[in-house]
Amino acid sequence: MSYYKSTTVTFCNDGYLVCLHRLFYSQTAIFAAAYKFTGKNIVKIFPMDERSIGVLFKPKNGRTLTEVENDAQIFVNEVLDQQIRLNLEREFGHIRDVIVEYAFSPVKKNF
Amino acid sequence: MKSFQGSAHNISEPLLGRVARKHLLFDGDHTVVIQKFRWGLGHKALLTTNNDLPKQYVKMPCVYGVSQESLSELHDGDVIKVYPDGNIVRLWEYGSDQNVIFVTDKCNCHCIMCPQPCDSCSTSSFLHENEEILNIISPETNSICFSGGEPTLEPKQLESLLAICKRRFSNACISILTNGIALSNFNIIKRIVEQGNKLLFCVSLHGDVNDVHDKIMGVEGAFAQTMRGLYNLARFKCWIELRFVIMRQNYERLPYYAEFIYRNLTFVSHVAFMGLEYTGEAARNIENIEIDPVEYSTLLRKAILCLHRRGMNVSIYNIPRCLLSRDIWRFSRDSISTWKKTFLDICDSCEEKVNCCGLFKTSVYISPHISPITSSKIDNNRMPN
Amino acid sequence: MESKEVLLVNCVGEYIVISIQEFNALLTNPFAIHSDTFKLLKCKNFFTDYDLELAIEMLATKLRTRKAFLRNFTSLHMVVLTAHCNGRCDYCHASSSDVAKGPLSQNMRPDVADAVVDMIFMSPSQYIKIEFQGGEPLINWAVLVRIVHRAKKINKTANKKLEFVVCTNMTLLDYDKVKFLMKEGIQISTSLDGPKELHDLHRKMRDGSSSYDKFIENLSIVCRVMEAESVSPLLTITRDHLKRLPEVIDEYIRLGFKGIFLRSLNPYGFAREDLAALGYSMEEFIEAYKEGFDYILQKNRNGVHFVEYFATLILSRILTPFSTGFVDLQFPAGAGISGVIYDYDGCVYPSDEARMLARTGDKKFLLGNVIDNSYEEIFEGNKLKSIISMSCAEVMPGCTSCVYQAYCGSDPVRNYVESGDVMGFRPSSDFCKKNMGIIDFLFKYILENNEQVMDIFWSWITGRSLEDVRL
Repeated sequence: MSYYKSTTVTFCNDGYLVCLHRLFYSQTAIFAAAYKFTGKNIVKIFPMDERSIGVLFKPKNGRTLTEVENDAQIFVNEVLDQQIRLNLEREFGHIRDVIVEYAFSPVKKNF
Repeated sequence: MKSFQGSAHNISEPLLGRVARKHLLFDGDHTVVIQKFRWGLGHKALLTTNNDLPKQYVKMPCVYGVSQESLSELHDGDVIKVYPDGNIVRLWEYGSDQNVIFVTDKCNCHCIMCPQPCDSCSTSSFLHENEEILNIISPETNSICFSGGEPTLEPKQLESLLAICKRRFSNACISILTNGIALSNFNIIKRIVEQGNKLLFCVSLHGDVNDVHDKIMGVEGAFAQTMRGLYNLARFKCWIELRFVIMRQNYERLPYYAEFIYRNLTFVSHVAFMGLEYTGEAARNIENIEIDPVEYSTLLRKAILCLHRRGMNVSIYNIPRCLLSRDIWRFSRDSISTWKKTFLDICDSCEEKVNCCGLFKTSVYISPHISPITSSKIDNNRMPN
Repeated sequence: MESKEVLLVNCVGEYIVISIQEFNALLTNPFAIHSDTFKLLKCKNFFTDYDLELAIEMLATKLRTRKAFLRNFTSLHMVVLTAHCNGRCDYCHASSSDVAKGPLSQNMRPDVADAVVDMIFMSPSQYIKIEFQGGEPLINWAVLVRIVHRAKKINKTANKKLEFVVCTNMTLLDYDKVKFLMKEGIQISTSLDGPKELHDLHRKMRDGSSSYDKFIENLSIVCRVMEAESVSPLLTITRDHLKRLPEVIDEYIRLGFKGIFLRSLNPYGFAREDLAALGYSMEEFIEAYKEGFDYILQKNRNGVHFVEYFATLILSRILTPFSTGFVDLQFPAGAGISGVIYDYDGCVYPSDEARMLARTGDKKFLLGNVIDNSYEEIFEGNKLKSIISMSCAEVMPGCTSCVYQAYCGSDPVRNYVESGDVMGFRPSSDFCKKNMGIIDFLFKYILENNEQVMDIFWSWITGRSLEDVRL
């Protein structure tokens, strides 16, 4: 398992595997990020062990393996971005809601 | 306040009246009559330089033997208080914009530089006398200042006095000198403001951080309360003048204070930086607080520059021009009351004497750096480092 | 920033520079900091040790002040009178259509114009600015006049502060039109890309004539009839401008203009198609900007009062506590809630860029149509709310923890164009790079604190002469 820690993406089963630690990446973030790649890849998400989740990218519709590898690497950044958004939503979402409410309040006064 | 002495006749308690000169049969201009439509000859009392009185005045309260010089300094329309011992004090000078009504001598602070500390904290009320003054001064009065002690400690009295002003002088500019602490109470300020139009609150704020300001005011929590008071004043859209008295404890804050006001108190109409008057408590604490304006000259310039750039109104009170950087002279005002203003002999040859605020007669300390400004000196006058 | 120092900015835009040792102490043991720094951090509201309630009240007051532009809702209403244009600028982001020989099918119809004006006055804002755009708005002069009259008529009862601007290349002006503009108090916003050769290089007329010549000719009419301040030009910087900004600035000064907005290319419309020839990297833009800015600063030192408007906006945000609404750069974004655009066909978009995007076929940001939809459907609908929700710095990765958050803003449509996602992707965002680059640059001057430079900045911010601002 430690092998996966030092790589972003590993060639595996005719596809590319990304291994993500459960402590850092929530299911919601992984799903949201993975979904973006399902147009051009087959994406399978599964538990690898009690600590890790695997995301396997396989080609769809004649996509080359190089392109799949590229997508898998972009996915690694994308899942980070999605996780950050979730964290921010949890921590500051209520402040954002107050701001949006305030921004639209002049209209509410009128109607 | 101007005061002088004479010999009293038939005066059993202090009386208040407005000055008028009336031409009398035998003694024209020497006789000052205080006019109040009361009894007898129609006057409340009589002041005269003569040493004796004609028979028809023998029942009238009067002060005689007053010096010609003293009498000639009184204007028609002045309000004076005459004491049983023959002492006469002018409480209100007609035509002056420096008149002050002392609402109370109670105070909720112990400022380390207070020029008129309340020693006795008497329980007597000045309300009746103040009401009388306001009721008899000219209706053309256009400037009235309420001070103390701390005037906001007597909100009901203040309201009553302001009501008279509202009724009699609707166009006058009314200012209230305050430390702002009691104004943190919304209800107090609401009732005061309802009584007046055109109220200017002159609020003392001697620092941009609580420890500096509180130490100077001698009260912990003063800064926070005053800030709240200022926010309340802003809510009521009052005119505000901030007053910062410069002393050893706060001079280093000068440029930061300016920035602080701009960021937090942009709604103030005017900021005044003031030199010390070394009298009263200030004289007692002189070793602690003393500072020569040349020591803070650069910092003061920075503070003025900061506020002026940002379009805020700023003034310098009570600091002679020779102790200021030349490019901030134009902010220096004629701030010292005429009756306590003085100059040194060397000032006679100063080209800026006519524009300078001068020195406090009452100060126990005068800067050794006072020197006349002459054309040749203007070229190498103090410029910033 | 020197590596020995740290710049701190609080949520209301107050800033302080402290040494790295003090910064580390701040994180572990604040009371070990030197007392002067401690006082400074207190007076600038970074922390408090005596009255938390007051500190929060002070911050709240300042935050309300800074965000006051939100209080009124939409105040800038851009009206696209026509998509036709007699010019065909190489970088036109509006993808303008030719002036047809027959009926002008892409002109705004009178009934649509009426519906637009009616909807404009449904905005709760007490201040309304109607900005005529296009194509070239003067092509549809009759509707321009119609809108001005209708708006003023409604305003007799609505009693708002009403202003008009027309964004025009000025080539179709004549004496009568200028008189009308003056009589109705309509300001002119126009484009001037520099001296003739530089201006005509990319601002081409469809009939082949020189747009510069016509511009100059009509400018003299305007200056005779209207006040000098009625015309404000701006510049679109292309690759050809990068090394020649001083020439442009000289031309502006020569023609009597008081300032310039050094604006980078918008990656839309024709500009997108021709990016190779016109475009440049953001690094190149920032270099050019710095050069242009320094040239302007030098002019000011020499006694010429000439302003760079984008810098003035940023400087106001850094140095003052006041609200500076600028629809293209604020948090939350100005899209829809501060500024809105009505296309010639009545379609409503939250920003000019959204309209341009629709022109290319992507109607993602279309909010509705003045004929078919109500005000509530357009302005209180979920689409606009969702756009705004995604433009709040607090929940945007990158922006949430950025030191310049109080001075910057988001452009959700630009984010979408750059990254395919409305929230955007800061690490590769050119928009972010540009803003950070310029703010870094201006901060350098602020922290240097040269008296003359700061006087010049304050003369720009407060709109006074250098003489008035200095001691």
